[in-house]
Amino acid sequence: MKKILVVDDEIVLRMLIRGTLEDSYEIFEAEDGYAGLDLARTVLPDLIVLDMMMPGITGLEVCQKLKQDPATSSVKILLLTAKSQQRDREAAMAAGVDYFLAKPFSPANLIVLVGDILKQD
Amino acid sequence: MFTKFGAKITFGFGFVLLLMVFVATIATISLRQEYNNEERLLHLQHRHQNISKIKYYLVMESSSGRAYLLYKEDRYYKQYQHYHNQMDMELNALLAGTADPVERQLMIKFKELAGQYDTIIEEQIKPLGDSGLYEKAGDVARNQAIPVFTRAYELIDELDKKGFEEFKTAVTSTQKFAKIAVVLVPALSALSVLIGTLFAILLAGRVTAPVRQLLQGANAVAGGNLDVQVNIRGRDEIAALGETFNNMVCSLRQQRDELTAQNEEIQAQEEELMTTLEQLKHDRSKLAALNGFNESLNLSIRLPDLCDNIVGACMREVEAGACALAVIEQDGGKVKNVAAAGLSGIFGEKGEVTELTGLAGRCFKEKATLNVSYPKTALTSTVLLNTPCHTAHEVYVPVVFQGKALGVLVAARLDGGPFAQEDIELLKDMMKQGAIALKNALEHLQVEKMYDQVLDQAASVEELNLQLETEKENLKRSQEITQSVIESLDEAVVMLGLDGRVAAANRRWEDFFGEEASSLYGLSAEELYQKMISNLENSGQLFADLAEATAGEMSRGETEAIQKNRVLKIWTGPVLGKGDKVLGRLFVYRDITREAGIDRMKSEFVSTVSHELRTPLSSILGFSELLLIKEFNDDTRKKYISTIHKEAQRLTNLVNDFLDLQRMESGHQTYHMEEIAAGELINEVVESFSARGHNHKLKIEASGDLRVHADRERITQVLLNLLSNAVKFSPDSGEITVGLERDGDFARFSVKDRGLGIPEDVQANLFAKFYRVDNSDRRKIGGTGLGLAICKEIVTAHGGRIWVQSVHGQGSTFYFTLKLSDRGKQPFAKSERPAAGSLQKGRDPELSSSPAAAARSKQVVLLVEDDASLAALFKGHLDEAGYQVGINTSGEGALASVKAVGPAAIVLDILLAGKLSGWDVLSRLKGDPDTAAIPVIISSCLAEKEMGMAMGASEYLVKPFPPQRLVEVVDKLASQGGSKRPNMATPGHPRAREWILNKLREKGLTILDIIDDRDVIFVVVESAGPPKKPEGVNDDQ
Repeated sequence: MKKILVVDDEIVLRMLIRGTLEDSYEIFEAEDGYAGLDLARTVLPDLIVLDMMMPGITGLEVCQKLKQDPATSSVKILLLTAKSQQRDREAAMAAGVDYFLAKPFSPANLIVLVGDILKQD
Repeated sequence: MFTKFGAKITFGFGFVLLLMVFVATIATISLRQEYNNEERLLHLQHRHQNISKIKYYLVMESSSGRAYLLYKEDRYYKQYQHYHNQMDMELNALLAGTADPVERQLMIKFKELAGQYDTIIEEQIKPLGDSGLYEKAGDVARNQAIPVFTRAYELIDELDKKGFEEFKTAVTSTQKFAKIAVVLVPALSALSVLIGTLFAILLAGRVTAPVRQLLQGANAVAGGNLDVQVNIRGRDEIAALGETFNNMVCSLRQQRDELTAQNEEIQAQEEELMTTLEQLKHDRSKLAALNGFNESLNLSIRLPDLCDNIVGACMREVEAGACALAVIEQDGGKVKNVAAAGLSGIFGEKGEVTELTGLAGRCFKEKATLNVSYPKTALTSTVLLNTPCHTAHEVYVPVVFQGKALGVLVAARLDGGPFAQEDIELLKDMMKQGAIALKNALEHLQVEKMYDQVLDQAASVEELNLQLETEKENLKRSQEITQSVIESLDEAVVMLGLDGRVAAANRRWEDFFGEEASSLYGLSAEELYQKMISNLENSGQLFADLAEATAGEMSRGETEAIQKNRVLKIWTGPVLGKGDKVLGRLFVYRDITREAGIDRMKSEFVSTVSHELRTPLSSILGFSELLLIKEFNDDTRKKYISTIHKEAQRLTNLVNDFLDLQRMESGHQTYHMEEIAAGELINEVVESFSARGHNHKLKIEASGDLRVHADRERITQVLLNLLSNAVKFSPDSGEITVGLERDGDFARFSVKDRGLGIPEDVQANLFAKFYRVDNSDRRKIGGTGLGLAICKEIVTAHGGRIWVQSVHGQGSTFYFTLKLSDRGKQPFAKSERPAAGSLQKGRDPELSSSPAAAARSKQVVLLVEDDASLAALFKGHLDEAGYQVGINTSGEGALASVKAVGPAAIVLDILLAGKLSGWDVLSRLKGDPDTAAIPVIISSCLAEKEMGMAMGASEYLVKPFPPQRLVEVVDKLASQGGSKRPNMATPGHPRAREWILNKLREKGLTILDIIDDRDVIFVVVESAGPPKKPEGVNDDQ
């Protein structure tokens, strides 16, 4: 079973993602960026669903660190963002984000998207 | 015989000899006398020449002196010296040749005067001339030199006259002697001849031939023929006599020749002397005339006077019948008659522009003296200027100065003889002197003109100076203003000159970069950048931007410099002068920290709101979708649904907060001010807040109750916000204390927590809208970042103040003040209200079983609600709180039952199923005195609180709201035992008024006039159908 790490400070969203994906994947949760980084290194998930706006360290920074670390650099990253502006997307691409999903999102879409991403491997 | 004869002869001869000797003696004496006279005459002549020369030199000396003063040229002074020296030499020669003590004395006196004159010239006039003070020198000349000159002239003239007299005497005596000698010598000679002849006749007999011979000779001699010679041979006395005769004749002849020669010479000399005399006479009168003329020239320097004087003098001196003078100034091609005197009309009036024609013109142009005579028959008219003049003789003399003609003098004689050469010469001489004086006068005129011009110029220079001063003053002032403006700018300004170095900078620089602006002067652009680097955080980018902005001479641009606590906008562009000429480059540094902060806050706010909105939306949409697409067990489903509910509520709060703030900021918020017991309010708020479920211990510390003037609901909102913040920001639970204290005319509320605290540097911004402390750290805590901004709006609108005291890490205390109401300023009776105690979390079991709760159970609450499920929800909560609840689904039903039921409160929905809306119901309830006192709580999804309150509702709850809130409101209103709201609609609210007017129209009334009187409006209506008393309106018609 493939592992998905959900990094989001909003517990309800973590709950929503878990509820959406836990049938098919093993879900790990982190409530902020630091916890997310720690967990990513220990769990080495197949996909990280990362919230953009988080207290402490932002999703982009988490992404950068993950991509810089050889241990986690190959992990696919799906960024959940409230911002859908082109500028933010460019910054996210530069930070190494692989996929985007704008909030609010449809759980059905999330299932399809995650399925596609992880099927490629 | 011989003896007798010899004796006779001896006697006769001796006599004749005696006579001869006598004649010879007389002749000799006469000759000597003649010789002496001749010497004397020569001497006198010589002396006269001396004196004449002296006079000449004296006059020339004076003329040179005048010329020197006029032309200020040293050569005239040298000329003067020359004449003076010549005169001195002549004078010395004269003195040496003069023995007469009287004459010597006169000459010495003259010498003294001449010396005095020279002293004046040398010691006064020349030094003044050297110093350029010619005017003053002229004065000295007029006042001192000329009198001395005049005296000297008189003296030398006297000497001259004396010499002349002597000369005349000498000539007369010479003539006398000459006459005597001429008569006497031949007479005596004849006598001798006669005696000799007689003697010869006596001897005729014997000496016939020789005697005849002698006689013939004597006859010849007597006849005046002295060329005879006798030739008597022998040795006798006759022979001797003949020889003697021959000798005598020879001697006589010689004497006669001599005398003749002498006589001729004397005659010639006499003639010459007469000529000289005449000459002297003429010279003297000429000199006198010139001298007199000279003096007249000194009388005035004014041109007209001078011309008159000259003309007058000329007329006198040459005995002319008419005389005229034209002084011409050639100005361009025109001839200007500057001055004229004499016969009017000859040269035209003074000042007239006259073309000199005819002889006058020729005289002027050729500078030639012309002497013309007209035949008497042609006297009717002359060629002179076409003016009829009966002149017979005319002399035209040019007035020439240094080769330039100044004018023309005309002298004319109508009768009498033609002008003598002397007259002409005199006129010429006079004009020579006159020319100097005229030139002098012209120059004087010129100088006067120039002086006037100079005065005019001085006046205009003065005026210009004044203007210049004013201009200078203005310039200075405008410079000062410009400088002040530049110094007062809020921006720092630095200008680089064309040499690329700092040419100007204002004080503001120091505020931004910490160094005095004066330290920048002369720095290059690179050095200026260096000065900025030290306290910039984005120097690299900045310099890249600046390099681009300053690439060309005309290029401009702006960039931002970020300092530790400041953001500067740097603008650069060329400094353009007149005609867009580049004068340098300007750098303007503007502090945009505030603007940048506001921009940042705005964009953060948008992003926050966006995030805050999207998160609950994501949950609501996500979970509901999830519930639709997947099957879950009951627990999970319930969990998801309750999450959806919670998130929807969160969204509602956010929207409400946002709308509240918008309304407050735009000034549309209406406050319903009333007197509120502050302590009571705190108790209520704490009580209701305690019910919300948290782990914090709430404590009230009120020193007594205070009455404030405030909007109950808004102040409740403030307290709830502060409490909710306190709870949120003390995540580890802890005690929260709500305090109330009197502070002057204000009541001071406080909410104290022991939570995170707020860093000091952000406390000032805490109440700013859109502001959230430390976004990343505190976002976890949630909230819109609008709560405190709303609090501030409300408190400020109440005339109060809100602030915070906080130590980071130790908790915060928020304070706000509200004005005490007039009654509230009186000491508060403690008995009126029980002191508030501490409230524990959750509902105190004692409270629900309190007497109030017991009383409540008898009270009826009427629900007017067409949504059955909602009605059930409310009913459940109210039932639980101990109320008896009646439900009506339509307005009509409610109105029908209300009097029968007599509820303690009515909960009214606005959008009702039936014909009557909630507004209608409210209006009727408030319009009926029986029901007007019943408090009405509007529960609606419409945000029409203003109108509801205006229509007389006691409370307005916007759906959705927690049912518990309804219970609280009902509790409050029911316990008050009746509505405190006005029992009729207050038409102050425009919507309420509009509603009332619509109702009136619906009833068929025509609105004629509306008289607005704050709480009451008077509506003048006209009834179209049967009049029906309008409800809810004070109708005076």
